[in-house]
Amino acid sequence: MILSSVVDQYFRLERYAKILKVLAQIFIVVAIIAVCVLGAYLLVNLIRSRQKRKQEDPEEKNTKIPLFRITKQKELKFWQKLIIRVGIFLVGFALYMMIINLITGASNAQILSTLFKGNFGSSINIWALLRNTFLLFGVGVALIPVFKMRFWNIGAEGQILVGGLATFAIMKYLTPAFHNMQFLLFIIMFLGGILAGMLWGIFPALFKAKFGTNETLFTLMMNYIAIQLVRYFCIKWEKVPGSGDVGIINNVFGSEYPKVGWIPNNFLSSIFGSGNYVLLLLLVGVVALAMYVYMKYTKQGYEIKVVGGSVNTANYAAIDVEKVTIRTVLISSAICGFVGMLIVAGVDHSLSPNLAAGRGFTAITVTWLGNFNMGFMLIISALLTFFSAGAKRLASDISLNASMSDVLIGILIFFILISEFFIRYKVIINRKKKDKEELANASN
Amino acid sequence: MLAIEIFSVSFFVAMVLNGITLLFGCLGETIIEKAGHLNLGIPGIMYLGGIGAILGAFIYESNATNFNGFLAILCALFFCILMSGLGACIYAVLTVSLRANQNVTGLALTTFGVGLANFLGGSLGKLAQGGSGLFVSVKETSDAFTFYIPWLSEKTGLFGKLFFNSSYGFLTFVALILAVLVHIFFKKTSIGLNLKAVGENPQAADAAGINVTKYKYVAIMVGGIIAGLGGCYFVMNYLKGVWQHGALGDAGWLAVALVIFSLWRPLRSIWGAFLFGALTVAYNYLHASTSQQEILKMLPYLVTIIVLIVTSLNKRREDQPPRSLGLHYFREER
Repeated sequence: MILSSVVDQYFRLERYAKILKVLAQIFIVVAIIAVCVLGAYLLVNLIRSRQKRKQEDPEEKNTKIPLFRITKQKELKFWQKLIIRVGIFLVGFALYMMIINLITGASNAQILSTLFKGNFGSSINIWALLRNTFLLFGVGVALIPVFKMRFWNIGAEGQILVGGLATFAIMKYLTPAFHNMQFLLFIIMFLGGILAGMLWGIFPALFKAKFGTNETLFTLMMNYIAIQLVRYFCIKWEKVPGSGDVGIINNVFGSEYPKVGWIPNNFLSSIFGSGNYVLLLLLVGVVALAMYVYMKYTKQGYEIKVVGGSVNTANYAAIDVEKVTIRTVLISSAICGFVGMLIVAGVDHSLSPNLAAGRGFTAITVTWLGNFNMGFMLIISALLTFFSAGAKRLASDISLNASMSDVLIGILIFFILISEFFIRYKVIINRKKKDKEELANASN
Repeated sequence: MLAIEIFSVSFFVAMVLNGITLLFGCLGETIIEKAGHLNLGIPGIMYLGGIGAILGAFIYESNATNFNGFLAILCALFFCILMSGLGACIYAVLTVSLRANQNVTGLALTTFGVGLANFLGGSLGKLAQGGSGLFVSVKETSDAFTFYIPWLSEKTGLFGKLFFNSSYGFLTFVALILAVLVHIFFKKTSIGLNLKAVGENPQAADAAGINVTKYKYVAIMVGGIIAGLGGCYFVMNYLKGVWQHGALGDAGWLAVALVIFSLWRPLRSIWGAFLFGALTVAYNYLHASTSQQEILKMLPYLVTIIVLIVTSLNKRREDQPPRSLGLHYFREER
């Protein structure tokens, strides 16, 4: 609000007002980003300035000393990490508020209340928040073993899509045969989703293991093949010709088998109310727990870590790197396919090329920034979901363009990346040291 | 069923327009990857470049009393470079100085860039048409971008129609010249060789006295700006200055794919770009049903995967990606 009025005051040129205002806002945002980064940097330095510094080599006296240098950080204490993370995240959040404020002119209280309304306003919102958080977290869990192995699977999006596609196909064609044996149908859907995900993972894994084909680019391309495949089937199975919309499968109204193959959303409805996603959360939770045990307590999990640490070490330790690579990628892509199945059977009950909704890409951020720690990963997925749902609510309530949600998510991720830097490295300003050295020389 | 209509002039022109867009993106990404950075933010940067051009043209058109094509082009290009430079700058600071993971940063930049471009596009649409403006159009500037020499384009028959079509504009030829220049840069100049050294082995390059950080920054900035020009080219020449939500589609990812297809070689990327351009528009010119068209749109990605596999099979050293691609360089970590 304040910044908006400042812009108004300084740019009250009738004819150019509109355009100049947009421009001025853009530049102010850029300036704020710059100031925030600088501020965060100085703040962290201030915290660090008490830390003991080592003596420089005397040889370096004659060489030009740069303004600051970067060294590797010793392992920080937990609370130090927490302060840096929370601090920089708050800076990012302040920027988030400021940008919305600048664009819409809404007050901070208004923005905050809309953010909360969008996420906690009704039980539907709360369940949506939980559901989307856990789906994102589930994909993040799927990426843990592959990233630990330093296999850059950025094809989760495609693996989710084909998992969903297989599930939808099974629901479409097998419902008449199995509508009396729902449990069997669920098992077939489960297997179908998992196998489809694996199918999308096996090719990059095989070629990486046998010939060293670059997996980042391979899996990236597989995403787009999956998207086109889903688009093909969307048109193939469309309800109204030309719409590309397959509609809701086994709909409550107007279909022979209402809700067959849907993951029930009235589980323990006496406690959680109807329309809950408890089963979905539980399923993701079980997968996460299994992954935790697998990575921490099994031999295979250990092998993954060794291969990720160094392929040479793994070879010396007689670990079959090819086998481990293929097996791990299969596990990861199977979980992605499983999430795709959950989305189709539990949430969307429909098929669209947008069903993964970018989760495959966002999950990469979740896993990497959560540093493979499931607690952090859950927090990050919750935050990202919260802010994206909140921004969507802002879009409808105070006429903010819906694309702004992506911009804000991008900015938040940038800030989390910045905080990672300050945790891993420390910046030392050389100026003071130089002064000290000169003092020492003078006294000698 | 698949009757062929691809021997038409309009197909050739659509192929060139799409191909040159990808060529810009590919050249930019090639320069960045040669510096050892896999920039998955290229789609975002191309969107930013595209909306930058629209923004500049919009500002100029709504303020100028006498429309001057040259100034309109300058204004559009200035904002295009500014916006794509902003995107590249974010990526450079995060990955080079702050050593953030390149894949994560790149993907976040794509989210950010596509979002910002769509946001600005939507806002401009509202400014231009009030209420629910869904698109913004800068027809005059687009016409200025596609100026042509009437004699060459119209009087020379098929030759003129194919190679100097009135919708090519000057940027088409800039892209082709740029590809040759980048080739010469990498093969013949010491700066280019230094840059390749930075991408292959930054430790060795550092020991040889090359300022690794500076090279990386400049390469990412220049590469980003060139890729941004691709976005500008696409909106001005192919879309005729009309911006709609998600205007660029998947062009950015295809550009990343093209880098692999061209094996990091600028000259190879020229014909690669035309091939990709043809594959992206082929579905429009083959008599395929709408569902078959979606299958046909897979082609560029399939071709890329095949190339990826073949190059890893033959293990020729000159065909491999830069060796330190995707790894960050920290001097104290050896």
